[in-house]
Formats: sequence, C-alpha cells, structure tokens
Amino acid sequence: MARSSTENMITLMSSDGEEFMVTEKVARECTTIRNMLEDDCVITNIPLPNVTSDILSMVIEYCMEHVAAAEKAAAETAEKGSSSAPAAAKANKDLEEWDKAFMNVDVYTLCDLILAANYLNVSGLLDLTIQTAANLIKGKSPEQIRKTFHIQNDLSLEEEEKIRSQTPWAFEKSE
Amino acid sequence: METSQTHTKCKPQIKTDRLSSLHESLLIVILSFLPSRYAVRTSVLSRRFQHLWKASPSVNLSFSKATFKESTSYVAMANSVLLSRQPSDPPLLRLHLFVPSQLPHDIPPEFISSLLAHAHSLGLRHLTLDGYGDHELILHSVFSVTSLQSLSLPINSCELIFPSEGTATTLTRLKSLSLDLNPVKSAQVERLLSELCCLEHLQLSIVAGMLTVSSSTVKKLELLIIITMDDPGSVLRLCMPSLEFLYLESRGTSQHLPHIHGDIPLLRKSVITLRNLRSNNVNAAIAQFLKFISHAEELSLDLKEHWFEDYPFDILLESGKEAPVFPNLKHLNARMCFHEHNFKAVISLLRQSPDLQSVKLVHKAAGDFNRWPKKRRKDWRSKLPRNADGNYQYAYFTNLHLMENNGFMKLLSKNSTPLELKACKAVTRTSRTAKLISGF
Repeated sequence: MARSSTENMITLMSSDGEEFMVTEKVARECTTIRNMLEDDCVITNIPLPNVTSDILSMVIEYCMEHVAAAEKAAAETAEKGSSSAPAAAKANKDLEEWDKAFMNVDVYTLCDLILAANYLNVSGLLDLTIQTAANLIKGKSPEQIRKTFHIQNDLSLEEEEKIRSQTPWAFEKSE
Repeated sequence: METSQTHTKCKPQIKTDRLSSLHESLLIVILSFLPSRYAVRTSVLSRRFQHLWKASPSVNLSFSKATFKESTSYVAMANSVLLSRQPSDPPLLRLHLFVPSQLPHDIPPEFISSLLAHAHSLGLRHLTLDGYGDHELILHSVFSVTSLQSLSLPINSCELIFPSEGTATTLTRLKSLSLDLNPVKSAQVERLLSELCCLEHLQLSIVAGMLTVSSSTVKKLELLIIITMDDPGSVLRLCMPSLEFLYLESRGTSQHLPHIHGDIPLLRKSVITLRNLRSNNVNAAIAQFLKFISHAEELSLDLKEHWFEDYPFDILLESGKEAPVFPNLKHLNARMCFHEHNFKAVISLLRQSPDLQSVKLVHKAAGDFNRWPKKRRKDWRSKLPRNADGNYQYAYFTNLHLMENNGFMKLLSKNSTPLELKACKAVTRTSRTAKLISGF
C-alpha cells in the first residue's frame, strides 16, 4: 500500500508487545482510537492491552482493505467521473467477496475478532463477525451448535428436558 | 504490512469455548440477528445461554406454512417470544413478520393483529411486514402501532387495503416508510401520505398507473418504477414542497416512461437510472422530466438504450426542441452513450449552467455494440474528447468554480460557433466574479 511521507503514522501495540505501524487514516477506522486521537492529537503510540498480535493484525488488515476500497472508489469518482450504480455495485461486490474470504476463520478467531471489533469499535467488522456467528447458529440443532463452538453443556439431562418442554416448537426440525 | 489472512487460518484447532466467554451484551446481539425460533433454540446449549434470548431487542417470526407442522407451534412461538413479553422486560425495538396470503390452518388474521397490538404496547420502533398477504385487518393493525419510527411493507399484494380514513394520523413518530404498490391505488396512497405528518423518507415501488404523491414533510423520495410491455403509460404527480432528494429508477421492458410532473421547489439532488430506452417515445418523456427537475444542483444520469435499438437517437432531446437547461447545476454525473446526438445535447446543457463545479461524463456503449458490423458501430462511437488515458471513454472536470479549465472550455466550444463560445465564456466569468464579490 502506497504511503505518502506526509501521512501521520501511529504505532499500535498488542497485548503481547508486538508493534504495528499504521497510517492515521487506517487507525481512525477504529472509533475507539479515533476518539483517543481527537482527545490528544500528538499521541503516536497506543497500547491495546486487550488485543493479541494475531487478532490485531487481522483487524488492521480489515481496516486497510476497507480504507483502500473507499479511496479507490473516491479516486474513480474523481478520475472517471463514475460513482454510478454498476461500477459501485461491482466494487461493493468485490469488497463483499473479500469480507467473505476474510471470515473464513475458525470459531475461536471469530470470537476474538468480535471482541476486538467491539473493543476498538470497528462497526463494519463488528456487523460482519456477528452476522457470521449468527449464520453458524442458524438452522443447526443444539448438538451441532455445541460442536461448532465447543460449548460444554453444563445442564443436567433433566434440566435440558425441562427447558425443551417450555418451548418445544423451537426444537422442531425445519421442513 | 504482513497479511494475516493465511497464517491465522492455519492455527491449530483449539477446543475452547470462546463464544460463551463473550460478554452477555455481545451474545444478545448475535441472537438478535437470528429468526426467533433459532434464537430460542440456544436456550439448551448451556446454563449461560438459557435465558439470553429473552433479552434480544428483535423478534422475527415467520408464519410461512413451511415453518411448523402444527398450528399450535405458531401460537406457542408467538406466545413465548412476543405475547408474554412485558413492558418491564428489555425493550422490543424491531419486529419482522412474514405473513403469507394463506395463513397456516387455525391461525386467523386476528391473531397476527393481536401480536401487533402487543408489540405496540411494548413501544415497537421498527416494523417489517413481509410476505404476500393482503389481510385488511392486519394492515389496519399495522397503522395503529403509534410508536413506529420506520415501517416497511414489502408486500406483493393484489388487494393492498389501506386503513380507513384518519387511522394513520396517529403515526406521529413515523419517519421512514417503504411501500410496494401493485396495482397503484392513488386515492388511498394520497390519503395515507396526507395523514403522516412527520414522514421524511419515502420509498415506493410502483408497477403502473396514475399516482399522486403529496407530502409536505418528505425530504427524500426513492421511486422504483416497474414498466411492463403492455403498460399504457403511467402518470405521476409529485407535490412535495420539502423534497430535496429524488431518486428514480425504471426497470422492465419499458415502452412508455411515466410522465412525471408536479411541484418540487426545494429539490437539490436527483439520481436518475433509466434502462431499455426506445427511440419512438422516450425522448419526449425524458425531456419533460428533465425540465421538471431543472432547478437541481446535483444531477446524476445513467441512461441506456434498449438493446435492439439500432440507430443512434437523441435520449435527451425532443426533436425540434431546445436542450434542457439546468441554471443551478453544480455537479453533473452522466453515463450514457455519448454519440453525436447525446454529446451535443449535453454540451448544450453545460453551456447554460454557469455555476458548474464538477462534470463527469462517461461513455457507455449502446446495445450489444461488439456484435455489430463495424460500419454501424461508427454512429454509436463516443464523441467525448480524448482523455489522459488516451481513450474517449470518459471526460472529467473538477474545481470548475475555482479556476479556468482549458480542457473544459475546449469541450464547450465543440460543435459551436465562435460567437456562442464567447458568450458562454462570458457567462462563466461573470458568475465567478459575482462569487468573488459576494465572498468579500
């Protein structure tokens, strides 16, 4: 990614001490960081004790991709004079494809991304990860959901039966 | 920056339950993205999940016959997730109901109405009523939910029956409304809109017919017009004194574009997307429509001829008449086939817009251009000037209000006599000077 020398660089430090240099524009995708920058504009080093380097690098990757896509769209509008429906629709589709590929992660990473997106307040990433998690639940039987997310069932057989009997319709199989 | 997408994927499987360790509020958000039957299903996953679904701000119920075998299940579902909900419980923000034209056996429309009434008592804000149902009683109940801020009725109904007079006046919080009208029932729509006193955003999907849209409050109107082959031609009258943004899109095999007229004095921005334009009858309708929106400051046009139209024709000009004039135009974004006729019409339009700030023209090949013999392609070729990329596909000019742009002046001078050019130069200069003076 091209960087102009005039752009402010910000260092984000993960919980395990790894440092990530990003442009201010990318960092501002995280509302939490944007608020910090607005409160104190000389800040250049931000420790993020709640985010590991693995997850932070993914969040940054997401933000960079979305900043780049927005910049590309803006540049195309300026250059080719087209913010028109078909071109924008294609760009949107490309970004959707990218998001979809980006969500090809294990459930452990997915949950960490939800946490990080929530903590850093990246609304696009939060919606994407929450929707992905919901899709992993939708249409599955409780057993399948437990298996997918490695959930330990701490209910006794009797307790589970009792809960099921309160809303039996929720456990009917779909046609 | 190193990309992480590959290496995190290869991480060894960790059999820890990360989901359950998320904060309750996040788990509730996940559940709110699910149809209610799947949200409730999570109650047996573990102790942690047992009561979470009850806190979801969204309820999503389907009365499609494919959902359950027994009618009692629908009733039990509605009881558990909606009817047993109390005002003291977490607030109900969103309700999505799927109601087919034929409800499951033993589920009367009165039952759906009772759900809406209860949602009302819980202060429901956003309602979507989906499906193909046209149950008068249900619609009547919809319009009594006075707490609504947004309402979407993507109902494909032959007999959409609006509530009786005066019913909608109680929807004083409703800001956003989305309706599918097929067929159009002008008098009913007109009455409904006159009763909605706070509406700001209106979305209408229309098939054909005569319709008057009047609202003194709507600022943004999105119109989707489906035009069928045997459409005798629709007439739309817009009486919207607060309208600032108009979006118009036509779909279908259009023979007749709707005739749109009325009064929209505050219009600032318009986005027009028209497809399948035929030579025999569209230009008069388009010219008339452009005249109607001629006081807009921002105009976006995306026009495409019908694929088997084979001779370049004027999209914007009615034969023998003047090109449309946009005296307040600041930004033009036009995508169309810039063959000679269209090019001339757009240049003529630009010459008469003294306040231009940006102009973006993109050539769009008409029809199935590449299949044609070369001889015929010539007439459809772009007349735009050669751009920095060495082709004729687009021409863009920005900051026209800040500095003299030679390329733009050259464009305006195409196909014109020197006298006309002088005149248009004078116009742009005067306006700029006027601006400088007013700036001091």
